[in-house]
Amino acid sequence: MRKKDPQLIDLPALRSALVQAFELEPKKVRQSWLFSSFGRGKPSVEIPRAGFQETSDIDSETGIANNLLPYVEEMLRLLPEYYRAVHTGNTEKLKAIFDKGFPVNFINPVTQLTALLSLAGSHGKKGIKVLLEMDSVDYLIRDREGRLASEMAIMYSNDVDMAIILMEKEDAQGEREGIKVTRRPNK
Amino acid sequence: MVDLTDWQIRQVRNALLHFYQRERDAEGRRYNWSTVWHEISDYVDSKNGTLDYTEKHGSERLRQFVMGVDDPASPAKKRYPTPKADLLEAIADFIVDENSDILCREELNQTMPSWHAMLKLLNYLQRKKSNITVENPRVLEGTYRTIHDDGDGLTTIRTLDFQSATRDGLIEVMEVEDVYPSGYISKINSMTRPELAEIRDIRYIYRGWAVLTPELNLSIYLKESKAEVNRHYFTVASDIALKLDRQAEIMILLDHDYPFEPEREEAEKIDLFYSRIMDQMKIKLLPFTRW
Repeated sequence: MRKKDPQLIDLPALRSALVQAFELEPKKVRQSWLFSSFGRGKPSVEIPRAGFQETSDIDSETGIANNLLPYVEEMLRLLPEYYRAVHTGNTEKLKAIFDKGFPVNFINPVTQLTALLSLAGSHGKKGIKVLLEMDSVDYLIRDREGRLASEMAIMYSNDVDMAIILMEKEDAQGEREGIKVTRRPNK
Repeated sequence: MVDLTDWQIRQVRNALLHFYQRERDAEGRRYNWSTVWHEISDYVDSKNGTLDYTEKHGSERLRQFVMGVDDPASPAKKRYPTPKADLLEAIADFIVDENSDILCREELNQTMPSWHAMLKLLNYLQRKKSNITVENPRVLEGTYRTIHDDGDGLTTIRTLDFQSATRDGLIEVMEVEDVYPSGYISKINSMTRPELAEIRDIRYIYRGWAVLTPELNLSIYLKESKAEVNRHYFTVASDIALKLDRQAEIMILLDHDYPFEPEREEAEKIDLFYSRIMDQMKIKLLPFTRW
């Protein structure tokens, strides 16, 4: 039941989502792209400091800063592997794709779900453990209805233990960033 | 939770039927109504509540609620006696608290039944001059399963539950899709629920409807609970027509969610594109057998 990767249909939306995910990557991760040999022999990306879209040349076809295009194209190439890893929730596949540098906070433009939200709402306990070991996961991204991963874990996976762990992570991040974390009351 | 509407009671009944059909004990045996009663009774105990029924009486109430009793006034029909308020409330709470993958509180409280659109589709598909019909679509109710090993270390099990079929051919459907590492597949049938949850990589729940057309096609429309991705099945082959008075044993369903897209080099070479799609169709035809 291997899936064709449907989200490849809307390339502009995908590119935009990848740019957004790149901006959510920690600074050290973004900078690491500067010094690593990028992808398969592709040139290193010059990471823009701030407001790169204003200061860099924009690719006329995609509307993306030229110096970000190689990153976006490389991640587009990895998308099928990412979709498969998240869809199956398989730990080895998840580790493999994130080891390759795919942004963990990528928001699927079709479902509006990150890997964290998707796994939390699909009984993906084993996959969640992989994400919990990563530093760069943003626990405060919400789905299109404003729900956090802990809420997805309760609502769709009925997994209280997983929800408590996620709530602790959400609260800790909220405290670090000075954000008051709110959740929807139980009906 | 008090004063459930008829629609909500029907949902609770369907959910309890699904629980009864789905559960297996440590030896892999199906639950009986006594086992279901114990599960509900234990749940009520854990909430410091009480149910004033003996095991025999309570399990029989559950059985009658879900499976129905013969109606003396009309032998062809069944009645589905609704339990008293305390037991009905316990069943509903047990389902939404302990088995929210079957029915969550939000769904139970929704006010807009989703089957109106399906009824319109069914009415459109009916023919005035149809000769062949399933005598009573309830014979299709039950559980069907397909197991697929992808050759890449993962095994997917899809379980389709057909429930509450109406006489005109509208059937409520729920599908559970579980993905496991391939190494466990031979042991899965003998494992308990907690053991299965430990080894399972992921689970998707789909809910929706099937309509039975006069041509004995089943068109199935499902929606994934969390992301609301649509999934469609159509019968490519089945023994429904051979067994009009019995449950189908096999249904080969065409699984469809997203259309294929031509690769870059295929955009102008239709034959090449068509040939690749024909190869891909093998994995889109899923043999569901009665479970």
